[in-house]
Amino acid sequence: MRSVLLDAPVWNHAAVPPWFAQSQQTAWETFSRLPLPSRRDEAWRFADLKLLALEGYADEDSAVAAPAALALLEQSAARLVFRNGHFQAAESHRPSGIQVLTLAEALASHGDRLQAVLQVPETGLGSAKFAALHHAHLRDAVVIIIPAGQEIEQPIEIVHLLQGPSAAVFPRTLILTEAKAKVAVLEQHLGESEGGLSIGAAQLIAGEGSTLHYTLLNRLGAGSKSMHFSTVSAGRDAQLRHSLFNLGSGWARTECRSLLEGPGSRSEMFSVSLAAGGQEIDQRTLQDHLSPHSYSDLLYKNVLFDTSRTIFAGLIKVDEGAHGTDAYQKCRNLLLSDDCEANSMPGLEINADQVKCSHGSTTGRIAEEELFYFESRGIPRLQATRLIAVGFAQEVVAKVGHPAVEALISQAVEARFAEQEG
Amino acid sequence: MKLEIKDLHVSIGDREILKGLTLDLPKGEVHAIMGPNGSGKSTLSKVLAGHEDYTVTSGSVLMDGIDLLAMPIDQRSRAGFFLAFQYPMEIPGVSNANFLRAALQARLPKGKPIDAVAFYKQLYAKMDLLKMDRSFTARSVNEGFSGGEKKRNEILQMAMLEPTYAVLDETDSGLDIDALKIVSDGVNAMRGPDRGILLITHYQRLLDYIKPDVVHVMADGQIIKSGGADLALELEERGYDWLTKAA
Amino acid sequence: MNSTLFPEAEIDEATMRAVDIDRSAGDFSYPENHTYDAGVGLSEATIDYISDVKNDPDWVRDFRKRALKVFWEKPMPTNWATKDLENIDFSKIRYYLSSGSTPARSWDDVPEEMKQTFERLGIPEQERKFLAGVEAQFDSEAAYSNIQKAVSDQGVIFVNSTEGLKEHADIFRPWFGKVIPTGDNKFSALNSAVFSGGSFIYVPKGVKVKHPLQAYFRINSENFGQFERTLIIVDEGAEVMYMEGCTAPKFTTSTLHSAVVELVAMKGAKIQYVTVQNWSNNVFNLVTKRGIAHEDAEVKWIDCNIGSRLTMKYPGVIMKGKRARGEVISIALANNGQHQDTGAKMIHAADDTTSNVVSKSISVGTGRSTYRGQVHIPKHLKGCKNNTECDALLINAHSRTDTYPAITVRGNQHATQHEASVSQVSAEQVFYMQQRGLSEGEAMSLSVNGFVNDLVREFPMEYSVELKRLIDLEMEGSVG
Repeated sequence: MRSVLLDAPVWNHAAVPPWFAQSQQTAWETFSRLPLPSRRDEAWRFADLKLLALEGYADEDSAVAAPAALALLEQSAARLVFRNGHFQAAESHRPSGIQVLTLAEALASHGDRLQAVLQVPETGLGSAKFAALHHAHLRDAVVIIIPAGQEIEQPIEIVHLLQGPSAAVFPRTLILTEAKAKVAVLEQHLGESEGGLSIGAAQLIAGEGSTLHYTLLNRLGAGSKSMHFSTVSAGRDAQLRHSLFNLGSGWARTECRSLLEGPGSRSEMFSVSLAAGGQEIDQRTLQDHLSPHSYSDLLYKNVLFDTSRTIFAGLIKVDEGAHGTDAYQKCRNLLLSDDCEANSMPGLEINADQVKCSHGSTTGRIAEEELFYFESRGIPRLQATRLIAVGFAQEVVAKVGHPAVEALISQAVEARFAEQEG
Repeated sequence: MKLEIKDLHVSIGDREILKGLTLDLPKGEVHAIMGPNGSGKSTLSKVLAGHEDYTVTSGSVLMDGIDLLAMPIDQRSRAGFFLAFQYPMEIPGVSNANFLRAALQARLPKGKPIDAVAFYKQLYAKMDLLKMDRSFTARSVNEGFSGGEKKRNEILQMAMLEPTYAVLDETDSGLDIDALKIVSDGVNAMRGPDRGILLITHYQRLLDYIKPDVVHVMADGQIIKSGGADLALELEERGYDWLTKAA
Repeated sequence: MNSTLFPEAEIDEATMRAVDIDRSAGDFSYPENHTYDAGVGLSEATIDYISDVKNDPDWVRDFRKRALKVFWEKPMPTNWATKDLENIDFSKIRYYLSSGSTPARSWDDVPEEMKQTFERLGIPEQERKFLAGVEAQFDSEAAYSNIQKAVSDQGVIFVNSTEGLKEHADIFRPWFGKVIPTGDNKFSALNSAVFSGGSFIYVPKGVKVKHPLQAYFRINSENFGQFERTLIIVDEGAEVMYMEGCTAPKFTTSTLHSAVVELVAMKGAKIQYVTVQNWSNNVFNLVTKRGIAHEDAEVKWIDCNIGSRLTMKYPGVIMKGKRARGEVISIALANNGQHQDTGAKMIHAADDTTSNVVSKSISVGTGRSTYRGQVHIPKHLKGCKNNTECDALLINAHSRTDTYPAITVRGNQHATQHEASVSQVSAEQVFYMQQRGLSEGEAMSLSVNGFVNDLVREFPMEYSVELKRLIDLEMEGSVG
């Protein structure tokens, strides 16, 4: 068995442009050279570094089990299904007229254009080593290019299925929207409980006046570990929305860096994490305002059961010259057990004038009065707690913006809460 | 004795907004400037106050013979010029009482403290006139005020600072009829032989309550017609088109 | 009603003058005239020199030497803090300068230059007006230390730390270095090695000291490091307010001020610790301050940071007993070239403990303000509450503000809330105020005072007046 950490990947670089082959080679070297995070790294503050033991995962083909029933969107503009990183053409559909490409296709048809972006998807938020690992192991990817003016009505759906206790996958999604284009993408990471490792990345690049909504739903098994890195960049007047729903994985770390590059650009970042058992969910974000009159908003909510832990570290950065910026950030933790732990580090670095910025973080439990109100209407306490907690999460679900996607996530959230009760 | 605006040309950047405006406001009189949106009415008020966004390219403004334009903003105020803002600013944390007191203190010679007892006596008298609640003194300047409260506050400041010449920029906008009456009463109480008042307004309504001695019509950065109080009624009936076309 | 609007109206001019210790008033120095000088640089010999001069007991000498080792071993905290720290050259600092370690009990016995210094700063006058006791430190040692007879008759001890550890070892020693261990950080280790001066206060059970006790810290010499050490123990049900003021002249080279302040509030006790710091802008001010609050006790830090090149100070409260309360109220003003890196640490260690942090910072010109906060609510506690508010005001485009809180909550029996905001004094606001006849500087001062107004009220009246004046003074040069 070849270890994803110890053995250099076996690449088939015959059909790829030399720059891409080189980028993977360099990524592997970078991974090998960079040290593991230490306790002194601010980017890993509060994290349990013992969970970073990623030995025992293999990048060779593991047997793909019989297809499990997948929760899919009823209608999608396109669907791509991957099992343990392998594209499943039979389960996918890609109508002509929408450029939804695999890595090989994209390199063949858009090689030059992608050279600048199909590199290590580094967020600058602490996981340079693992972003390099991800890139070195990349075998396939989804590349979506929406040309100027094209508006895709139905969401595009990407499904990654992780199967087997030692399987490792490296899902990668790259979405480019040209001027005034519009698209919504739902990516699901599904898995069974026995384990597995997923180190994924999304790169969202929204051109002038375009609208790009991306939602990632993590429903990996409780025995699995996952990391996900998003780099988001909004051009002039572009509107980007990045939503995360962490309903799975024993350990999950997400990093999301949003660059407000164009004047008038707008970025929203939403997240709901439901942590239970001994789960740790570690989320790091950056809202970086490089241009004047840009707007960003962040709302991350965590619901904690059992002995779970969450970490939220978010930074709003307003660079010199990014005047007229509005930036907001809110982290809310709902603690439902006596042994859970929520860590919040909401940060601001303001270097410009005429800025409206605020952040807030609250941590608490459900108010007694609220529970009493439910009980006085005959609703048992346990059920009342669930109703209130689901409501707490649904507020974020309702911000995703696409009824079909919202419905699917809503069901997943309900199901996850139901697991807690059962 | 008068506020004398002569052939005033004013630009923002490359765009000329006032194009040779001439107007005399004698002490003791109330004048009104009416005109369509974009005619430059608000520019005139900001320029007289000394706002830095506007450049005076030529012309002059004399206040009782003194060059108004040569003075910095605060000196104009202390010399007796007052502007009631169309959109009064909110100043968090600074109470109305402290703000007014600081403004009055700035008019006294250095080191001479203000008489707090007399100050409050006067403040309360003026507030009563404008039907303002006593709790108002401790509230921050304009913060969380309704549109009507803000406008009343402008008139209160005018009453306390007792300017020689006052420009009231769209003081009637955003007021319901009761508030309009209160504000008008406040302005009328300020009329007198030692004061010139210039009302800038879009609607004739205000002039039902504050009778002007002279009405000027402004269009495209100039005064295109002047007349008596009747002119306002005529404008209300016929609009501005007949004048702007004629000009 | 007037008094709430214009607190200064209640104060006569002499008091105004007495509390006026603005920066220009602090910018003078007298020629150095030290009997004892440990020389430049730091080694074990420096420690021995200090211990010899002070005639330290052996346990203190050992304590210092152990601390020196810890200091050498500890890295600079530059993985999270500013790189400016690396500009401190420990080999060029003078660690001990004094004219003897026994303070005078009467101003008449204070050496002439020192007496003149403190008179120029208005200390003797303040003492007469509203203080229960005063300690005035000049470089490494207290030049003057006195407590009102009525207060000492109640059993209150107010002496410098040297006297405290010798004469009152039975009370001093059990708590010394317990609230802030030597190895807490590199600078607490440095202080533990070379500390000199600072106050020791003990307030016996049930005694409520009516008037504040005040310490005044003065740096007079160039290339000097001031390392005072303060320990305040307030016994059950007792109360005290302690105030400190700090100034230094403007030298061309940097000066280091690195204090350690430990507070112990026993059951039901109350301590208020007020700081108005007005260092000149070449002082590195790296201070560790922490209090322990036992059952039903309250520790409140009221902190105003003006001046210095770099201030790093995060007062903390460990709420060790049930229903203990911790509070940090802080105002920071970072002017051109200055960095105010301040914050608060709230460690909840018992049920039903409550902490509150309100921090307001103002950044002017190229000034930079940073807030760092830590709130920690560990396992198996219940009913803990924290509320944190940080507001930042930026005066112009080159100023900078950062906020880095960290909040850890375990278990579902608690509530924490953190809010932060950033705002500006806008050009239109200033225009509006100018139209009412205020100069640009006056308009700015009014806005800034308005911004901090609700916090200034938390300071004792004499200090709130001084603070307002200091802010006015800082704002004067900030416009145009």
